[in-house]
Amino acid sequence: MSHPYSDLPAPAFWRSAVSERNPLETSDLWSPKHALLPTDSVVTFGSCFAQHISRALRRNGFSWLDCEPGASFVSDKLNNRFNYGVFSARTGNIYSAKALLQWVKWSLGHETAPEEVWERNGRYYDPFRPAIEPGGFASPEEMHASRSQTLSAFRRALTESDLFVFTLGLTESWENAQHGYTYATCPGTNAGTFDPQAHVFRNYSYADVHGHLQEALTLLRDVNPDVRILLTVSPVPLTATASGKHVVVSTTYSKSVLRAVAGAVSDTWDSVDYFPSYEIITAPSFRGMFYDPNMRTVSGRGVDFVMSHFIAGISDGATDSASTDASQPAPAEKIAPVETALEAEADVDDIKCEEEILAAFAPN
Amino acid sequence: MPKICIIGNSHLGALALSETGMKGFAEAGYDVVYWGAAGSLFGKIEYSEGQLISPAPARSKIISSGRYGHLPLSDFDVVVFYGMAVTLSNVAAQITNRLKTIEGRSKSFVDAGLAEQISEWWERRLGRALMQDVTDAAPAKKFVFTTDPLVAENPEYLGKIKDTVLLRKALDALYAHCEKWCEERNISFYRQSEATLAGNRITTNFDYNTNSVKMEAGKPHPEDDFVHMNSSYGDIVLADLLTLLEADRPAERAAG
Repeated sequence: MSHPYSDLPAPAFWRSAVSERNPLETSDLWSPKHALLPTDSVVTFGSCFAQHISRALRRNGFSWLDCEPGASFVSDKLNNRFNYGVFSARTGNIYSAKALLQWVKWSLGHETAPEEVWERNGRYYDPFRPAIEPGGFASPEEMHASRSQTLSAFRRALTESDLFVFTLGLTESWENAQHGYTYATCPGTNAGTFDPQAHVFRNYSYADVHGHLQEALTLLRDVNPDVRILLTVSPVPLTATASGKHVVVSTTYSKSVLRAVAGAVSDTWDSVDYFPSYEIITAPSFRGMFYDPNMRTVSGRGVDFVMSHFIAGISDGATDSASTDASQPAPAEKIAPVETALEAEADVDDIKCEEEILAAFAPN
Repeated sequence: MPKICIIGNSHLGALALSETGMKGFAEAGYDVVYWGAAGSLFGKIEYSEGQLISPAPARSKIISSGRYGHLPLSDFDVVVFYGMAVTLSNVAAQITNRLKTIEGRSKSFVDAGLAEQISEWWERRLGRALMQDVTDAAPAKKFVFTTDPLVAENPEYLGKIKDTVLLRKALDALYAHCEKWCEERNISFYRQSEATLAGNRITTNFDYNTNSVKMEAGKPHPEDDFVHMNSSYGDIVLADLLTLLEADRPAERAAG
């Protein structure tokens, strides 16, 4: 008797795809919707985990677009310390879909970025990227000038990219109670002063995140109709929750909402794809092996494993496309060589996560 | 009689030809010896077992008026590192023009970029490495270091500078870096006298460049040589160095 399951391929079945396999040999996790060619300009934004994608792209010869480069004559270490070359513009981590929407609206001139500045010990911090300048800015004017440069760069990233990669990180956020804009971190943690009257906690719902993301992507496609979008969800659990629930429960809520929104948007938009970095790290078949001993941060080996699937996926896509389009250059060396664990760990150490400051406030 | 060795390259000529300066040292009771190697040979001088080994001992002997091919440091109470092929004008111009490309970035980033450029440049200086070897080997000796003079005022150099204010900032930072390094090694640092600078304060006054003479051959430098200074410049440097050394002497005597 014929039925829909009778002709499904092996990856559709848990036994053949998971149970009977070495988890490290799990394959076919992702088939990209769209080919990515080495000449395509890719921009990356989002939570900490997005930084791994930009690094993997650069290492494998793809065109990662740096719209706000640091100084060409200084070391990578110095540029990195000042958050140049971390994302495609110097936005710092964009943890929520609402924060993404804000950056899109501000950069495209739909709204004006707030004037708010955070001060600490005579130095000035940007509430929307409080860790962007080590030690803070010298003056509010310098902070605003820097943000203005980043907004221009972000606008360029929106308008000139062929692929816009965004990693969703959190649903929890702190907003300005009067004006409703969201901060990158809770005021008073990285910088600024927490005021319970002025700052309000939000834990965005599915409808909130779906709405924020759809609006942001709609505005993006308005200025760049051909851009493709690749969504991912960070597999990194919350550092802390202000929801009043256990951090494990809050993490599950947060990641479930983000994963569901990413799935819904990618299933309904032809131009949007979803890369399962979240599943690759968190699926039960991997037994948590890709987490560090704190069971929160992803180990270098785990990052490598995720990125090998990512590069393999886009490489296959590029090869398929190249075979049908002789005018496009064939990708160069595409599969990332397996890095030594040490190199991978060092890379992970360099990843920037403002949210991690919250761990400092945990009771002993 | 305290014995001083002034080590350097072709820039030693300005000092060695300063009759006034040499007379001042003689009257103060110092025995002064010049020693070194000119041009690219300078970078090949090495320290080994208490001596500075010249790559061209015969020429080093000429510079030291026939006294030393190689230089035994134990013969000297004071070592003056003169210039040591540490030329600030070109690196300051290069750094300035690089910093100009990141104008508008935060002051912290520009300053960090400046500091990193200087630090990397300094680490590559052969003269720095030689000074480090010598001072490590004889930490109790009195040492003085001064950089090469800034290039004399000339249109070609000034034409390359995109921002003279920024250049001055780079020069100040370069001097500060050298001075800090010296302090950590108990080396007295002598910064080029303001009296020898041109009005722009980023080059040496052209008066100190005219009629400069090659030390070994005794012939004038070419007209388009803006890096070597004349004996008038040597007069000022030697007078300052003598003042610097004399300031330490009463203490030495009291201690003795």
